[in-house]
Amino acid sequence: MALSRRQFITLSAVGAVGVAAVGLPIYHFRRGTPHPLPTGAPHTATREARKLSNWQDLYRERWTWDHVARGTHGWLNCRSACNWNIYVKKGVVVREEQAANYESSEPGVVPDFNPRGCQKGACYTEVMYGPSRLTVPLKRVGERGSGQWEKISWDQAIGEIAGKFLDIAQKHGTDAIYHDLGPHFDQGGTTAARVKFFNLIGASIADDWAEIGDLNVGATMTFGFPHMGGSSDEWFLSDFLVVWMMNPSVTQIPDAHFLYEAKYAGAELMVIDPQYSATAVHADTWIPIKPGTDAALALCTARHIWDSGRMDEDYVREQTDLPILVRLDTGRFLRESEMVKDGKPNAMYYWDTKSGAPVLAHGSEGAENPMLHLEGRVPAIEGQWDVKLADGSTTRVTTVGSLLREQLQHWTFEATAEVTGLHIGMISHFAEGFAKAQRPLVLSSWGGNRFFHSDLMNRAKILCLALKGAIGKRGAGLNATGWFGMEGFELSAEMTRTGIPGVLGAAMQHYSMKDIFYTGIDLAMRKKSMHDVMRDSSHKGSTQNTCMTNSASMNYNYAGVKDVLAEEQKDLAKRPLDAYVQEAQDKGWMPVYPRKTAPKAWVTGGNNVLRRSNQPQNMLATLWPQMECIVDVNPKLTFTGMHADYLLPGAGYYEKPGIKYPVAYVPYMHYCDAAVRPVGESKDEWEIYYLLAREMARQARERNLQPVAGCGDKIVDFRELETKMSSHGAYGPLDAEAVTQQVLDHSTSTVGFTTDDLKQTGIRKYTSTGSTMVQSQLYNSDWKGEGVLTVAQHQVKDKWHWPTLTGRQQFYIDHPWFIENGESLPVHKESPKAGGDHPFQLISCHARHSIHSVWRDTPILLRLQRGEPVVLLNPKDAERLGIGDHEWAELSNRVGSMHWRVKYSTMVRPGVAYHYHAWEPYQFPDHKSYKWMTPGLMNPMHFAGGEGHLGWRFAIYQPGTHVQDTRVDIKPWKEQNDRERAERAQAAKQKKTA
Amino acid sequence: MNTRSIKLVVAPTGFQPGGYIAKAYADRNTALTGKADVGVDTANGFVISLRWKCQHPMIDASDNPRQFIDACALLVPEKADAPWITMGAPGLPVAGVLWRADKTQPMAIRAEGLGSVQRSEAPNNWKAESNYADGYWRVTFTLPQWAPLAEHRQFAIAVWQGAQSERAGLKSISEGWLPL
Amino acid sequence: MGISRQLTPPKHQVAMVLDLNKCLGCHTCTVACKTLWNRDQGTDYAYWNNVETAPGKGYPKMWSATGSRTETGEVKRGEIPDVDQDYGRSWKFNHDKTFFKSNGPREWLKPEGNPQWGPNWDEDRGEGEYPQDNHYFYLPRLCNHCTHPACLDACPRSAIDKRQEDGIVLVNQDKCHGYRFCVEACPYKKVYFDPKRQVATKCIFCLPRMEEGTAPACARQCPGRLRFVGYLDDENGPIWKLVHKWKVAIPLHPEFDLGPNVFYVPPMSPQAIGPDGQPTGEPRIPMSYLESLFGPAVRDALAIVEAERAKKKAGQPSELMDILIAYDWNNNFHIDPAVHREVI
Repeated sequence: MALSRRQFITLSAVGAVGVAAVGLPIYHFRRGTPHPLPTGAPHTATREARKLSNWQDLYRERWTWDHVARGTHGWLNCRSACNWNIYVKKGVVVREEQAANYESSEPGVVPDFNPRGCQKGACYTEVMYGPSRLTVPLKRVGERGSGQWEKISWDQAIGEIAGKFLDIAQKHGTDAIYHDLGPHFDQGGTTAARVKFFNLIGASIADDWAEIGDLNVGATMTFGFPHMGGSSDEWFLSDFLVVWMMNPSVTQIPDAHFLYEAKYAGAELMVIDPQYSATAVHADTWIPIKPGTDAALALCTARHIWDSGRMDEDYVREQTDLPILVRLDTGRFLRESEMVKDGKPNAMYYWDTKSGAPVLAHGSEGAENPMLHLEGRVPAIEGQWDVKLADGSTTRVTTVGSLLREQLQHWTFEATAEVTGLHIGMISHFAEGFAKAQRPLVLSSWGGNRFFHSDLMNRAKILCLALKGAIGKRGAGLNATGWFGMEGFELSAEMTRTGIPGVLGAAMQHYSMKDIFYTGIDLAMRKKSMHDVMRDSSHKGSTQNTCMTNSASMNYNYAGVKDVLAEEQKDLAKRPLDAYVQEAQDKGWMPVYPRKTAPKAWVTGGNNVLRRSNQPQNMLATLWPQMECIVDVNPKLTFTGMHADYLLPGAGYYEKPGIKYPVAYVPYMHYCDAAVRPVGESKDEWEIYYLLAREMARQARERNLQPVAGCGDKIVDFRELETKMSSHGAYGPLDAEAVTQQVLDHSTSTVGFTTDDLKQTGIRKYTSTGSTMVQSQLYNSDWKGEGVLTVAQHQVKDKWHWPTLTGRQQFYIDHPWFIENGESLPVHKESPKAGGDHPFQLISCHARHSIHSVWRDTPILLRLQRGEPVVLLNPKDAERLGIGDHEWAELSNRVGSMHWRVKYSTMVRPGVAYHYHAWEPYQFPDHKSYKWMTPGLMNPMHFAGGEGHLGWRFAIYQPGTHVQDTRVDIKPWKEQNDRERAERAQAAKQKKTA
Repeated sequence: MNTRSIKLVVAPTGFQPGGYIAKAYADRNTALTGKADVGVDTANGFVISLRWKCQHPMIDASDNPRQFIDACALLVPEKADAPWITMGAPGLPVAGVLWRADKTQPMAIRAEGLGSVQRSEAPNNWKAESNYADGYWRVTFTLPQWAPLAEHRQFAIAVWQGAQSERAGLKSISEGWLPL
Repeated sequence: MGISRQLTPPKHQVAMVLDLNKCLGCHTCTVACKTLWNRDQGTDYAYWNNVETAPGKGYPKMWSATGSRTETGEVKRGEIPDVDQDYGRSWKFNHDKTFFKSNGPREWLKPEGNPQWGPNWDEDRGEGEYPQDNHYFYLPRLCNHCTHPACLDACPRSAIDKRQEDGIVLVNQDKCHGYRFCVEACPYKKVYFDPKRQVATKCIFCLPRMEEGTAPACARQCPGRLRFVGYLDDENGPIWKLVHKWKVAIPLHPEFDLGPNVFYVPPMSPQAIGPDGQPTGEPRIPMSYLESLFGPAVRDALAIVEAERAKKKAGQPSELMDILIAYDWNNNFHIDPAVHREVI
């Protein structure tokens, strides 16, 4: 269609007017000479409909607004971050639509990120104004959980809660106040408020990651950190994509397109999943593996890569522990302390084939030289040698590579077929594809960490990539969700003054002047990288003078789960679970708070622990009665909220300023503008915690309360609380945005960012990967906002050590517990039959139609499901059991039982009961969800510590609870099915007579 | 009131505009309402009542798109030779009053041929009272003034059985104009 | 052919191409459309845009058998779907009785009336035997803005127009008397009845947005980036290239003979697995099933996609693959607001 000149001129004019009037950038129209495109719609642009005085006006009126704000679902625990236009009419958000103002990281090389979003984001307004929205403070008046509430004023709520906190701190210690931080938060001022407040009062703060059950502990064992992965457009550059324990079509909706676009660019797509998932439907090859046998397939693939000569030997020598020497007599690494008097116990050796002697490997924890350069040496990957020890004796040593290879020999195609249920032809097709690939890239999700033996599976998957030299290679490697760093967030939670004095004050909580001096020397001498320093400082920040606790250990101690676990796990390790837990706690490997008592006050902010935890019946029976004050600060009524004492209405995602947590999939910072004022009497969390601090200080002064011991060396003076919370008067209760600006000001990834600018654009490309503990996991200090983000450059390109004991990607762990349990190397172990030996394995996936429980009760999305929770069964299984589609089943095992509707699906593997997670217990009969049957196994290896990179670190290494091993029995719930059949017959009869 | 029984015939679907109805409903060749009792009282304006058999009355403005509503209508010519079977013709308008079981007020209609019906509010003093009993609808129109009826002294009737998906041209109608 | 009414061909025909190889089944399109146009009582049950799992009964249930066209394009009487059994009602929920104490027993959250069907009831159900050939794919559907619209031909009141400017098919709700012949006639079941307002409603191709050069919500909000919008006669746009030049975008149920202007790049599928467990190299969606949806052209369309993909794999350029990859997402939409505005 050709355009006349006149048309073109008109068009350009319309374009220009349109932009201003519509509030949407007109990206979809480009013709003739390019004209500059707007970077963002004016904040206040209004759109009015032109009146046609006919039927169309009704529709035209719907696409109008007074005002457009830019924002996102900031506090949402969603690994996507998406920029939205939020349309406001008469003070009400009427709808949202993706802003879609991203650019391509490398135009013409990779596709752009537009339009990022999903169906949940597209209807958050239905949650915001939905049936479970809380808008006024409520106080329980009946029994807990009885559903009886009275509306109270904010003054009353704050006054009573502040008083109870002081009572509890005085009586039981400050750490008896427990903040269940959970994953429902952002990186802006409202979340900094929570961390700051609870730190200031010396409360226990939960690190819930592994307890939630999806921390990639296997990656930590290998890399020293779990969060590996660059920007999602990097997927497009791979030639062999393996989606391995992930379902991006469902769980990574804004990024999934890169996979299918990579196919068009020539990549092969393999999906390994027991279920024919929504991602598998787009695969070239779907590999229907038996659940829990992924390690076997990976080990077979590793063997094939090695045996067929496609191993990248140079890479393996330099970047992995395969050349590191292990003593055959003890199974422990050969250590410098054994070889040399006064040698270090955490420095290891490899065998240099050039000199024919053991050489101290650079980069290990105890090595002088932190760099991985081999400096001309050629470490042996395989072999056995005698070495002479310092005590004069001789011992036989071999390499990790030799031990590994011997172990891999078992995994022939035949042996693997037997374990995985896959045909030899399928296995060899996959293994050969992997072996010959140039850029193999494995996508592995948090959901892939939910088996008891997920650590072994992930170690084995990473092994395949390491043998191929894929980790740290552009377009290859492991994508398991990386993070940008925003150290300004951690600082803002610690600073009690603004500016440089505040930063110094925060630092001095963890560093003496001497520490700082020697750190400077180490940096100058290149004994440490900035990454090392930041990692250490961040770890100090989460361990010193703070009561940060892994919540799995807290639950183990106080929440009534241990008896069930003792029974379930009695055969799963050499010693009883409790022996490992006690050893870890005795040795301080896994700090547990509160120290002396179960939590007495429980404050949560959307974490929804009773929905999420395993064995909630035991938590309710054991932990709940011990608590004197349970507060949920939340925009939404949840199952946990139903069992709380106070419900404080927090502001929703569009009602407060904030910063979306910085996942690396999309290298843009996402700002949340407060599009409207908080609904009803809701308040943002900065204000809520500020008011609590002010009130606690007031009451403390009134009680003349003297300072009390907090955590570590910390002394808590409640009378000073407001002073500190306000950063000595710099911030008032309505300053959430200013505190958010403080986060930006102190983050090296957001240099020059202002909230005012961000209100216009919603997003801005990070200026670097930042520098905090979490960021260090991206390990690419060259990245300054340009180009596809590839991780692990620090190690692979710049040759700095990995943060592991050996300083390398570590496939051998010589911790005594690992040796004792035969898990030094990645091996395959059977998925234990949690809950007893029952015919169905209960397997979950993150949900398509909800992010955890946030949209679970939202009618607009329930209508696109079946309105109620369903468990998916293969039709043949269901028919055999005599359960019709959408009929009820009773599921049970030795832990518990519950009722669930059955949905037929051919995607489901026979023998699997499949479900999308996070239904609220109140959506099931008797308010009992599948969690009532889920013991939540705890892997004792995850309590290990005391050596190298093992031991608790915030969001890096800690015990978790695992759900995918749960076995259940399924039978029809006959009474209910009969009842409903009768009701339907009656209704049909009535319809007929009517 | 002067009451008579009127034979109704099926409105021929073959006349319907567009390519669909005539073909899709070619099998509708008998009236679903075979007759109606028509009462007329002209003592004080016009009071016209219709009574017809209806097995499954459809009354509610249902939320089900599949359900149609029972209805009936009176039609009168505005010009002497306006055809009743096509609801008038261009230049030969007809007027009418429509009762629907889900509405309290009747509607005025006007048309110049099939597919051209315009609905409007009926005069305030027009009424349509309805009653369903013993398998029969009885609808009584009270029309104090109606100029074309006063002038031409003839009318036609149409009846729709909602339960049989009757609407628009799917209806039973009188065989022609009926004298008042 | 098509319909009996004579229509003057529009000056330009808007069209949409949906690449089924990129559809995630996420329903963002559905929600985008729903929240923008059909939030009210009356159309609360209606989805101008929906995504269904194919093979399956679809939305509304068994729609392709209930329209006014036979498999050979002959006119037959269509059916109006039932709100409960075929569409699925807009369920109400019992939040209050679940959350708060009431006199009766504590309820669990559920839709009123124990529904047995809804707009996405059989999501991911599929057909076939695990793991040999179980299969499904996602089929997003909207009004096809047909060249020969069955709805238009069914309306005795001529209340449905095919716009001269852009070929968008609209129900003139000022003229509509709610007779619903259009609802029963459309063999794609994409005209709905609003019982509250007593008029028919259907997709308006987001006309107010098109007038501003902004793509329809279902297309612009699609995170899978699988939708292309433009004009059939615009040789610079993606539609002409995918439909006419590369012939990989084909209509749904061409045998109805209505000239749909929504086109689909048909789905590839993972290789099937033989009875012994070996991968077969053959797609697991049966070709006969795809032909029943897209007609015989589906074979060539798939062959072209595979051939161009092989080229790209071999390092050769492919215009087709580059379009489908959508390096610059903005290029998925080639919209000229003036085309749609001229009448106003």
